[in-house]
Amino acid sequence: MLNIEALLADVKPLAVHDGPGLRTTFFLKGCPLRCRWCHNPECISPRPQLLYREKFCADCRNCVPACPAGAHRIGAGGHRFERERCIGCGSCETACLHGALQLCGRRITVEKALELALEDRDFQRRSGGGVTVSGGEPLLQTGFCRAFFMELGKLGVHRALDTSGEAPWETLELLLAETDLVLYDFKQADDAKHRAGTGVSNRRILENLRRLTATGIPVEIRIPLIPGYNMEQEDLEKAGRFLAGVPQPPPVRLLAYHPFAHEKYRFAGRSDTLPDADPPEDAEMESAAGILRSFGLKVLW
Amino acid sequence: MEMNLWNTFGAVRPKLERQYLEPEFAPDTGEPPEELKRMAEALVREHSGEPRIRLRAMLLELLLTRGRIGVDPADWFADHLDADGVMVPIREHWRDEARRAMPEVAARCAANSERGLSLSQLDLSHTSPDWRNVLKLGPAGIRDRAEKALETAEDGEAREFFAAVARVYGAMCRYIVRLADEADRRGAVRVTGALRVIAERPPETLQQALQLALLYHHTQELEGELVRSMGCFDRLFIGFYRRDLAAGRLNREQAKELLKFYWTKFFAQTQGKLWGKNFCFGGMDGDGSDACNELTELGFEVYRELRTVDPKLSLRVHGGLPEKVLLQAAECVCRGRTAVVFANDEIAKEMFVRRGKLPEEIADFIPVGCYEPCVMGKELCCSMSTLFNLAKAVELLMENPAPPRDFGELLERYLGLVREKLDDALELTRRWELRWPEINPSPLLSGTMDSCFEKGRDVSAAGTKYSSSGVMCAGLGSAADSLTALRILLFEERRCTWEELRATLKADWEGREPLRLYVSGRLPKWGNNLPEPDALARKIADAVAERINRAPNARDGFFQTGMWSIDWAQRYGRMTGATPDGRRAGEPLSKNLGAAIAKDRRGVAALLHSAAKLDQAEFPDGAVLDVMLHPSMVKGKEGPKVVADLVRTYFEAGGLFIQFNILDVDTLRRARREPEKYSSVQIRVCGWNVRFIDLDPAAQELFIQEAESKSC
Repeated sequence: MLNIEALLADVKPLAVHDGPGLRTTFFLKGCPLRCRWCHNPECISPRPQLLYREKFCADCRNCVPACPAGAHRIGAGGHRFERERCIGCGSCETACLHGALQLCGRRITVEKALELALEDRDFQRRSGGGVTVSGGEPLLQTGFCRAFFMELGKLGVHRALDTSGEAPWETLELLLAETDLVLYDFKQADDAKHRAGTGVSNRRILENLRRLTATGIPVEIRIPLIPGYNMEQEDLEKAGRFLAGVPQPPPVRLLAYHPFAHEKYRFAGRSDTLPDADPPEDAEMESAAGILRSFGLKVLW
Repeated sequence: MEMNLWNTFGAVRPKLERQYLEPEFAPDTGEPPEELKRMAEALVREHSGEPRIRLRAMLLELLLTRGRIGVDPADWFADHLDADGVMVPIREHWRDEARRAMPEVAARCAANSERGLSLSQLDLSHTSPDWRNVLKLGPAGIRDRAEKALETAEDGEAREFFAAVARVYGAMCRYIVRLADEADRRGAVRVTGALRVIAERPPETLQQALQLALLYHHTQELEGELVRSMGCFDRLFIGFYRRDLAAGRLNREQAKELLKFYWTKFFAQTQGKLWGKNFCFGGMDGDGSDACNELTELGFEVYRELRTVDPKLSLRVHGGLPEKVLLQAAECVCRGRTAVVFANDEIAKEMFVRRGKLPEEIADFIPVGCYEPCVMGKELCCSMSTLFNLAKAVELLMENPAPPRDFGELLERYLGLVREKLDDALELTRRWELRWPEINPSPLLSGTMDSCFEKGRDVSAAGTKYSSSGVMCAGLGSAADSLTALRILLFEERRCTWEELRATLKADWEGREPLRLYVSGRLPKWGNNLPEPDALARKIADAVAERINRAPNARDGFFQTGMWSIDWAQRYGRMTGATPDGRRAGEPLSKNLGAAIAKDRRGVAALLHSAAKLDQAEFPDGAVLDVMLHPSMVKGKEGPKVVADLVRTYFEAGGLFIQFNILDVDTLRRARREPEKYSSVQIRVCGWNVRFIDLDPAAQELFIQEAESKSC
């Protein structure tokens, strides 16, 4: 069990927005959704991926001989990275002393993950925090999550799963016995709009949520409020109606859209799909919360 | 009190803040400063053969009784005396005399100081009176006590001492009467009554007590020692406050207004550009019970409403401190009022006991200066008697051309060098300490101390129960990182030889930039909860503490280790050549207990874990960790709890002092200009993480605006 591995994008110690208290959050790689507003684009691909921060490149060219695939080349303007050749081996990261190249996506065993999680046990305990697994979509790496959560459970660590819900019910169910809190993303109640915004239907997500809320396991719904996508009265009413109709409706937390991930798209070599919008104003957040509350939901933001 | 005297703070605040820049002195109340200066010089000439403590008391008497004064009827306190610039030149003249009398010591001090290795000095800047006695006895009471002691004094030195104390406090009473007379003349009804009382007897009301504390503060600074703690505010003033409330003399809002007038005095003196006055709150009593009271909450409330950088507040934390008090202080921090240092009573108590102090003396634990522990009324901690640069010792280590056989030998060389240079610095400090009685005898300060009365000795002659001398040790992180790098480069990876590395550092890494980048970016660094640099930091700190804490000073006390650097991280950095941790010549050293700049890559929790590995009860001169948090981590209702949890967890692990930076807008602007220096700053944007430097300019601008809107 301790040898089971995951492909990890990042670990964030002292996370304060991923469940109660101070937490250590593990971001796993790979996601079945393609949300246009995704703020962790480096977590989308299920493979290791080189992040290239061009502004730190000093054109020292140490990466060129280090690359076994010939992805780093010298062009007219100096160093050039040809992503399509990159095999994600990370050799160039070691060679790059300027911090311009970083491999996102490393294998991590449950044993090593435990070590990292427990390093801050004192902070977690004092604050009523714990460990959160997020992503990407952690349900793509259920074996790791389950083993990791089981080990954490033995030690009495509070475990939160941050998921989009886009997975077979059986996969989610497998984890629930080892989960203390599910942070469940909810983007759109309207299926056509859900497809347009995320690339997938919401049918399974909504169905999973119904079944999840019937289990009695603590859940927090998290709605990212995206201007022009899910903030109209109609969207919120539809969401409110659905959420109020699930067995034991959970509390809802609203997360304001922030357009702060542009550079991460560039680093990860993805085309930038972020909406060209400003973050919602406090008044808009409160008005959205009011609509949801009118359905009897408990709403935080 | 008449109601119409109140609710004026907002209206007169701008004037109050400029009160020392544009002071109004009544010309007919005394001599102008030039004349005072002439009179003082004449006094010095006339009495040059007499004991210096007597002369000093006469000088202070001259200023207090002959200087021009001013009273502002809009103010709740009267304290304007036109006597600046008279005492200091005389003291500095006496210091020069002392320096000339020990040329060899002066030359060695200068050499150590010029090379940026150490500073040995007479520290007159880190003292606190026994505030309890000031308020309990009042100046008249202290004068009477001294006169009585004079009658039975057994030796000449004691007689001189008591006479000097009686003289300065007698002069202080007369000064207060002068202020009261002037207040009458100006129709300053707010202050007259209070002045009349404290000129004759101990204060009875909160206003009188604050008025006296203020006058004492100014008078001691006039005497020549800076007052670097205003005491435990809540404990000192609670009796006055409760009596006022019970008698119906004052209500809570009026008490807050008085405190605003009082604190604005301190801001007005510095314009927020100096170190700030330290007001202590909270903490445990002698029996371990919690000592918070109504003024604890009131004090932080006023601090939050004032939105000012001066004064600064210390909160003493212990297991029994009510969570709401900690959260209130944390809330100030979260909202950008970060002039708060959190102190750990539990470790301080352990430290006191190890130093041979009494466990119940924890009740009077005050941070002096910034965060230098002291027992109020029983100790002068003189926390910057010696400064020492641990990174400079690394530079000196590299001067030895003989290659070390192994890392063990190299480490021993380093520690040996540190011990040798410390011994030298401490010896020089002792020589200065012996000169204190002739440079700056301090009868006013001494008059507040019970032990000075018992011994019949001035504080400059070891009158206090504990006469300590602090040794500020700068650059622990830089030193640990350097030794880590040396071990890996020379003995593990064998990337270079001793000779090559020596040449490389001498050339300030010229031509070896890839090696520098490798060392700087890839080798393990202090402050990341990593075994090797942390173990080395602990070794260095232990060795330093062992050497310093057992060393006697020249004032019947001991030296005390301080693991902090304040702005000397920059100053000593400028004076320190390239170091093996990848630092270029002239760059700053690691600050206080923290990591070298931007080297705490693994985040706050790791930084706190590293620092907690040190035995901080061995740092009786203090040790502080700076934590930088982004506002996004502490915004909203949950923010204060985040800060409170960090404080509690760090303190349970053994931390002594901690302070926070919620990144202000200026820092963010600098970060935008110089991203490489701020690469460790991480931002959590509502559920996702980015480093600040990875944000695009438009997003950075949004954060800058956000920070701006939160900074007052």
